[in-house]
Amino acid sequence: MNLAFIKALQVDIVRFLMVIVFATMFAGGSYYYYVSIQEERNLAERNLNEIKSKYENAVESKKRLEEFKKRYEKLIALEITETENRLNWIDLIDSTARDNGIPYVKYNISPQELSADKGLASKYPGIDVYLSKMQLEIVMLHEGDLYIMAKVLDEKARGLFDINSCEISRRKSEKPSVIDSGTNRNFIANCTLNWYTMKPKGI
Amino acid sequence: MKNQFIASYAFNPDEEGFADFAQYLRSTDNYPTKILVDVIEESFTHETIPHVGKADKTAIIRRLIEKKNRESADYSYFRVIGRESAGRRDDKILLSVLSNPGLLAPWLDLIEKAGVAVSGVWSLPLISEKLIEKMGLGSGNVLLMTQQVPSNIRQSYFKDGEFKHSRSAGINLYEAPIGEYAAQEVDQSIRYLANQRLIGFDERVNVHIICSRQDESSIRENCKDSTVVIFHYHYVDEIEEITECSDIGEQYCNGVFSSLCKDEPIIKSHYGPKNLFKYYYQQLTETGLRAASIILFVVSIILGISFVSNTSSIKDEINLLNENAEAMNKAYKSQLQKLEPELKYSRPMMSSVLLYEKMQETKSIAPQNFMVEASKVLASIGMHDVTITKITWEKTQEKKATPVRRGRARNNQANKPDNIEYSQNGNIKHKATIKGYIHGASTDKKATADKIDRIYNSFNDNPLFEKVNIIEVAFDVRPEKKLEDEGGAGHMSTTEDTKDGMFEIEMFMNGSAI
Repeated sequence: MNLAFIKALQVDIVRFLMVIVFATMFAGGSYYYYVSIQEERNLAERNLNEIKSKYENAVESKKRLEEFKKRYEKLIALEITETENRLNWIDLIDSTARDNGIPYVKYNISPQELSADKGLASKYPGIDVYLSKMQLEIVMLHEGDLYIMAKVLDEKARGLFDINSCEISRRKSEKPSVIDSGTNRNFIANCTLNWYTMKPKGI
Repeated sequence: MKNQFIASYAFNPDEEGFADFAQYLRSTDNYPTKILVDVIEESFTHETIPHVGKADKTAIIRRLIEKKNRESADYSYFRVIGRESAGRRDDKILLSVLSNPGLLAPWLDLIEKAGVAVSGVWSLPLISEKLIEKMGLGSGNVLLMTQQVPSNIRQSYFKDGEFKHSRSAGINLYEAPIGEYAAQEVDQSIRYLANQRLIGFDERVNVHIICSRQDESSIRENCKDSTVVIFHYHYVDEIEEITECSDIGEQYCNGVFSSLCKDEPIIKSHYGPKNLFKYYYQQLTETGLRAASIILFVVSIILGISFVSNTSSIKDEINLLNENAEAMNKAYKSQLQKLEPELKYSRPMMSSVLLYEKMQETKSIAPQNFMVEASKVLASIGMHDVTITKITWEKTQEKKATPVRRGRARNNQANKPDNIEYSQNGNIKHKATIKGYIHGASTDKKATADKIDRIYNSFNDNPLFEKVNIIEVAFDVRPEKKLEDEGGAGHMSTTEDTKDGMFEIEMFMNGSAI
């Protein structure tokens, strides 16, 4: 019965199968062609976006360059962007002590390291910030010696620094006050300074 | 032209009739055919069977029929008409059976040989239920008398519009007029129905006779109303109008029932073995396959064309995109490419400058600035009896609380001096401790405590300083601290000011205040 049924319908079944094959090939083939053209379009769009983005970035970089170039030249002049000029620092320290009668100055500069501040990379991209720690021990006549040393370094030193900590203590003496004292070698100041260098990353 | 009655032919059950029928089948198109059966050998009974599922019910009915006549099994139909009110609450069914299906065999053989697609075999009495509904005879006892061929009268009984029973009787119009047969058959039917307890003896029965106009007088003459039997007359042409087949113009009701039959749904007919419908199923499948092939073909063509036509617009778009890209590339090369080596420094330049400026902003946070402000405060309360022995200063930074593991959060605690992070937005401040002592503390502790208190208050009251804390005091009169000393007339003090007058004060100074 079933076989006879199928036999009776064989022409229609064959025709239907042929239509399926044709429909699959025709619709599938045209879809494949459509998809490949679509991909080509996506590629062209991506290419255009890349060029556009490159162009826009360049325009923005140019603007940035115009805006920051002069200010950056100041940093170059201060030697903040190059190898740190330690000789200049110690020269200044020595000459300041000598010129201002500061009885004793001792410095200790640790090896330069990359800054441990992990947020710098995201907030200030494109540069590596290096840091050199300087321990400065000054035997002073009065607190003004510390002011002078800090002022001279700030104004004349080739580099960028900040004072992170300081301890000023009275040496054993009959005279009473840190602030009012006037005798020789009354105080010792132990200060920590950080010297910063900013180098363009990967250039 | 659709579903319109075209013509009616009669074929006698003899050699000549069969030959004519075969000829008719050959000469007509093979449209799906419905067979409407109106034979004397069709019985209607009421049975009760257990209330079971459909498959079991069918098996029970089949067994029931096969007991009487095996051949009738494929020519039976049942319908559940209710349930018993007591006991097992069995199903009540109306069972109709063609008791002699062999009558149909020669006709069906011819149909099969001609390969005609039979979509179903319907029972005329069962279909007459539809006629009753169309005639608006939905209540009371109705006995419907119809004549489909000159040699038979069909009477079907309905109660409240539901088919209950039907019988067909042969007549010979050469022997007696139709009226005599009608009166006699109605009388017999009513007695039969009463005996079967389908109606009560004193129950009123409305007999509706559908006849031709020419037979009416004969029937009216013989059929007289009584207290329980009331006769109603309908003409065939009127009924044809009601059933919307007024174009038939037949003398008898065969056209009316044929018309009702053609409107029956073809899902399941009343009678017939599955084998009978094979050409119909084949025709349906053929039609389905052809339709599916055409639809598939058309859909694939439409899809294909739409894809291909879309691609042409996409190609235009690609050309446009490529042209734009080329133009932009040209502009880049002519205007900006030569600057490339310099441009790559722009970001490091910007970052360096901004970081430098951020550092410069906090430049004022330096020990010398703190000492200037601290000196002013101390000078305001007099330093003649105070010696400062040590000042420690450090740069500190407040950080926002950061969630860490185990649900603990880091507080806004001051950083270690080494860890000032310029990438953070935390406020950078001075943190300092001043250590010293008060002269004359060994002799006058009250004055010493008073002086330290004044120093503390002076810093605390100054808006530049915040969070001023006394870290340590030798003679601490604060209630939360332990206090111990010795005295008396004979007591000789051996202590020194540097110990008794010692104090250490910690404070934070806002960097932006300078």
